[in-house]
Amino acid sequence: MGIVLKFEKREVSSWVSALAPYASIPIAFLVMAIALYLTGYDPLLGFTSFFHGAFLSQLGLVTSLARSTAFLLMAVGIGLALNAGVLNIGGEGQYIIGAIVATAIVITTQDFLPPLVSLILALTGSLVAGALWALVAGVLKAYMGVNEVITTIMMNILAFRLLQWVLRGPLKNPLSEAWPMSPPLKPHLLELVPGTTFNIGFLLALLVAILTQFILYKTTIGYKIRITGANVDAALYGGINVKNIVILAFMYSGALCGLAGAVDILGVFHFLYEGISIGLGYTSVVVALVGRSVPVLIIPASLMFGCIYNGFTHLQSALGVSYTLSKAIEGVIYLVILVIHLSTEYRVKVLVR
Amino acid sequence: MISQDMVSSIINLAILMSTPIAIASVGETFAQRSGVVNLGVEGIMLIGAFLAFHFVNVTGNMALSYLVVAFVGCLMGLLHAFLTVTLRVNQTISGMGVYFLGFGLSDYLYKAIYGLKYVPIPKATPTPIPGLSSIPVIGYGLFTQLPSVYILYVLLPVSWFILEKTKYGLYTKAVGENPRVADSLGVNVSLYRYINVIIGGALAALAGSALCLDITGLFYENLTMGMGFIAVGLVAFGKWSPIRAFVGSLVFGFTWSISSTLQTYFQRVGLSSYIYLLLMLPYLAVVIALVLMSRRARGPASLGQPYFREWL
Repeated sequence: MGIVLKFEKREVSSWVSALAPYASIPIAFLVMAIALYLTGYDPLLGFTSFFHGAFLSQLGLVTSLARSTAFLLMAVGIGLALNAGVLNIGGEGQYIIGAIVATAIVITTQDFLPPLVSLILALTGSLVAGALWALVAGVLKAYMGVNEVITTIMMNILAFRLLQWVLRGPLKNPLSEAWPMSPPLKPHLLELVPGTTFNIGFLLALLVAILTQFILYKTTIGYKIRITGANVDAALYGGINVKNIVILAFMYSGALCGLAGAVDILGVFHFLYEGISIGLGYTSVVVALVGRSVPVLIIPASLMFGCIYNGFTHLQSALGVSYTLSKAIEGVIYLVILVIHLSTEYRVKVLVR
Repeated sequence: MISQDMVSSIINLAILMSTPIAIASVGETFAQRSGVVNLGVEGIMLIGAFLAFHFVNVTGNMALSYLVVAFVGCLMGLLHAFLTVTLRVNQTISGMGVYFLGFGLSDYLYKAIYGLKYVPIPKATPTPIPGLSSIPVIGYGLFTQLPSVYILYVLLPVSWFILEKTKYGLYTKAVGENPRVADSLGVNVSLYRYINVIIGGALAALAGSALCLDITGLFYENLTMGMGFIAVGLVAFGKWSPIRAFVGSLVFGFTWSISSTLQTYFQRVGLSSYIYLLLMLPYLAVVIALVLMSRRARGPASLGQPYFREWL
């Protein structure tokens, strides 16, 4: 006697599997409304300010697009790593390292190099730094079998401490004693809408997403990455160097996360401070999952999360709640997506016998 | 320059700082021995820490708060078990979901109730064990401790006994090594995985309350700072034995203790910006320890893999 769940794999059209994760959003909003109501806030006011800030006002929409740039870059990177079967939770740390390196390069070169050269150096530097920071976790995973989630989280904490130190040491702004920050950066990324933070980094991110799509689905190396993620034994049997693929996937992922940090510093913040990343790396994992780890599907997912993120900042200031509400809601979206993945890919039968 | 008192207090702080990690690590050992990785430990610890804080603040009753915390930890464990054992969701990914949920929810609730201010709660006081606490050098460190440390001292031998000397432990290990064989011998694989993941959840939540009640006396955002993830990592470091996982947590505890003793020295000589580099040391030590030990570690054979009875 007992209840048994029976799983049968089924074929679903690619449209269904691409759109199904979005069903988690209304569920998450419902949970949020209940949470707000139970803790004594007005859900209606919350949603009004959320949607106004997210895309119903022109400034809101543009800011949301600017926010989605980092999500797009990081989620595409994390998505590629997921294709190879590894979870890069270290986006947060790689983003911070990219931001630190970009700031350091611009500060040392801005006085004697043309702005464009300085910017290109900074973007390249952040790319390399992010890749190297992720390399640690990649090598430990591939050669020592250390769980990549543990090492990347440790690397995130180390990156944050490093950020705290550079802001009080080498990159300190001598004019700001109370509030640790770097000196302002003079060269900026070109603004697509003048007077806003929406910058050319967005186009760069789109380009990177399309390039990654090409790498994953049209090249040998992409094929090897996907085989490694789908079935390690098959990959080994087919003569693929799985260790190198894992390390490569980590470095590619880290490079994009580092680049995201640089794009945000050079295009959005214009100086370095402690609060540059509050959980962006973790949110990007959710973005990658909504986009089913396919770069072109991650483009709409990151646009949506840019809106959600920006909407939340408006909701928080309108209601006076903590930003961590958005983290809890992301947790809900994430868990619901897992169940959706399962129910679209398998036919679940409940047998009572 | 280094006095005996200083050594005693370094040992004392090291043991205390190791305790939350060690408790969570024992719980995770149970879960992993049955074949389930729970990466949500950090989130469950945060929920446990918040609830312990809230209950002590409202009722002033520490014993009651431990009970409530353990119960909610069970529920969080149940969530992970349902997703991974019944729905067969990828364990890594489900664990991260539990983490996000715990991280966001604990801080959201704190700020919804207490706002942006830090609210101190009365901290537990150290209780010396008569006789043992007067052993030179180590006596003060080991036996003039807070309640959670004594809980750990009981938990370690008990969990070792359960895993190594009882039928329950044997079945748990069988389910983690080869669920199909265990199933054919009549062991209920799902039930054993559920129970062990729930034990893991309860201990993770208790670990969070130990951190909040015995160490910080405060709750703030991301109180655990990666301790839950360290606890998961130490299970492999300890080769799936609770006692060895405790030894691993001492690596963190001692580096923490020594670097926080150095902090006051750094401040005195005017190197205060370097404190942040000093704070990196415990985490670096853990990464290095994991590298040195994980090479030879071999976990339960079916760790991380769902069991489908109908797929033969």
